[in-house]
Amino acid sequence: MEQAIKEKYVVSTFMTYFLVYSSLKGVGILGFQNIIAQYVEQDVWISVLITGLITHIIIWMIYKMLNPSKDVLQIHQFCLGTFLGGIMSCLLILYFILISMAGIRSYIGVIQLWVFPYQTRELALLLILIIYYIVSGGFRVLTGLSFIGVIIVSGLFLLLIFPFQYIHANNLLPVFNHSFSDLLYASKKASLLFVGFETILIYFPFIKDAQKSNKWAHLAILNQTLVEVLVSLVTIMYFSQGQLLVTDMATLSMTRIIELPFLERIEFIFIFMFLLVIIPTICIPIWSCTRILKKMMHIKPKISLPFILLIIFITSILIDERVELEFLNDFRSEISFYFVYGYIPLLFILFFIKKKVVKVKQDT
Amino acid sequence: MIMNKALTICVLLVIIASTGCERARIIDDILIISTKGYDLKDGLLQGSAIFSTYAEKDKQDIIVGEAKTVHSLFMAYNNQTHYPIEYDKTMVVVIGHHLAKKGLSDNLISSLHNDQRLGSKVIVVVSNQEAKKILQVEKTKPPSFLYELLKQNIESNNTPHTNLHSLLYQYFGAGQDVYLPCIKLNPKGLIEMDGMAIFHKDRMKLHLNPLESTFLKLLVDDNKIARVNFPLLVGEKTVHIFAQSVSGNTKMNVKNQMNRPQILFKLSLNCIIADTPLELNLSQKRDIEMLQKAMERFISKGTKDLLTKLQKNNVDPVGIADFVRGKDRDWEEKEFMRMYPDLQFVVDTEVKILQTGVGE
Repeated sequence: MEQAIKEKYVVSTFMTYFLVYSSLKGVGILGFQNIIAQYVEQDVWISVLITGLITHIIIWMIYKMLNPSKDVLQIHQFCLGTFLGGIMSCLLILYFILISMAGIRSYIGVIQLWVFPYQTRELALLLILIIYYIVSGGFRVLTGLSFIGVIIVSGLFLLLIFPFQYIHANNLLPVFNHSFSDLLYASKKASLLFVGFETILIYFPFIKDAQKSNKWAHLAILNQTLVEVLVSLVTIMYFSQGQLLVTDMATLSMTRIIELPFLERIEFIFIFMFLLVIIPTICIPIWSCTRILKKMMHIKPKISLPFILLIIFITSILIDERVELEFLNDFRSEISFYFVYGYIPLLFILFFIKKKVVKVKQDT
Repeated sequence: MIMNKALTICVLLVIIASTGCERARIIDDILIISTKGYDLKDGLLQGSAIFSTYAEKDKQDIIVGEAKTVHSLFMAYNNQTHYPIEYDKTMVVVIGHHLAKKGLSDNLISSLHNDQRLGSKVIVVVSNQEAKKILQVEKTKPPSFLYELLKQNIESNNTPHTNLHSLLYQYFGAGQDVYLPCIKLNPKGLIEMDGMAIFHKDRMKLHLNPLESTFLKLLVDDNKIARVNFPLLVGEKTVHIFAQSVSGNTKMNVKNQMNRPQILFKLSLNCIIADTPLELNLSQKRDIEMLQKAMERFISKGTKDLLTKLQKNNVDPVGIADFVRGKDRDWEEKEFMRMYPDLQFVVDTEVKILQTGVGE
């Protein structure tokens, strides 16, 4: 049987809020609006709301499966058997590598487009070294970083006050002007705002009194829903419809209007502050990879971590065209969507059937 | 122990990597453009730009080049300068009126839209002359003269608020047309505000005189600070009243009357009367009311004339079409524009006089 995680490695229950909330803040939040607006124009916020509500159900499912404190590896073993479960857990490693790689590469893309047109390899090397330093610090360091990320993102959120001066409330009208199927399709695209928290499947045993942490996880999702609905509302009111469709990074573009007496162009500071926001979304998946490798193959993180980072470094410098980057982001959000909103419910159903079967067997 | 070693290596690598990445741009070794101008010359785009020279305080210089596209202009500029050109701090873009009438071809609009190095607060203006001539005058002025001139007029005079964001907002948005401020060189050779330019799609179609642009500001801008001069008949004599509106709001409404949509505008303005003529006794309610009525009539008529003029030219800078879009679930731009010439406008103004006799 698994031994419990030592007391000195676990984090407080309420930290779940920071872990979940910070892992949702990927580069996606800088420019999700025009992707969704393609389908529902002024009703973007409704789609975001729908996806947020569905995500609450996913969180509920995850907590049902994970109680009492287990992780996804045990669930896989329980539902799919040792062999098939092992394969799925290996695929999970690839998935986590993909999302952290996409995170790094798209952040580099933003820097290259907005600030420094440097080569990918220089920026990637810098980021990889920072990530190595952080992840090697262990899970508690990651939690601390999530905490900082949340504080900073809340601070950046206040910057919305500036574009608020230039809004046209008329843009929101007419509300609900799209068919329900359009809204659902757009909600699928809105999923990029709500994926990333699935690492909770791995770090769950590291939370103190993990069973009681569900309210914090729900709070994080609720917070994300409300914040992103508000951001969508402001974006729709700030840009005209046609303009929004041709604006790639709507959230970032809104910061271009800000002018402070001591600072003319705040978007540059915004981009670099954002590094601290996205670092948890990159580091937690990488840490999860090392965790899976340790549990499954008994490979020490000290060995696996450089190896994983090398893979990420090489793959991210191989992507140097804009088209490739866009493909990577689309691919990543598709895969994440099917993982979170397809695979997890499937696993949930399987888990309950299996549980019933086991119970019937025990009874007879 | 091993951790420490790893850390040292990390730090060393970061230092090596970051010094390798250094591409500092020292302020003395670059030319920072503050104003850009675009003209059309022999089928080519003629660009002019003003930059500060740091060798002498407050001295500016101008550079002119010709090219086919906006960004290839920078090549033309760099061919003539001793330091590289940087344009991140551009504050004003001046468009010559030939180019504006020919259309801000997709090239100019798309470069304004795609260029992340321009802030959204950049002000785009149309000049009555060649943009180059305006820049040649600006060169002799203190730095950022033109920007301050425009900003001052937008904030506390009769020019409606515009900037790069509003330009792109109107250009890409359905149901509205672009309006930009106009400047000209007056006979004394100084830069002066000269009403507004109204665009249809990317072409300048109409020029509004200063009075008309004041009414446009009252209609579209949240900032209602504007100054008007209107005549008032007192007995046999006509006196001129100078009034300043300080705040207020505009409400738009649609009404369908016998298949002919009616657009209602309700302007509420709080005003200050600056010059009090001796013929009026403004401590008397009767005279105040007379003044109020006269001003309301003047603004209502002027606004309605403006709306009709815009309607005749088939342009919609007020965004009436966009407003109707919000009310009508089956709105289509083409269909609305077919209906646009038949719209009927009703303007109702309500003036409140806060103060009288306040000199400037």
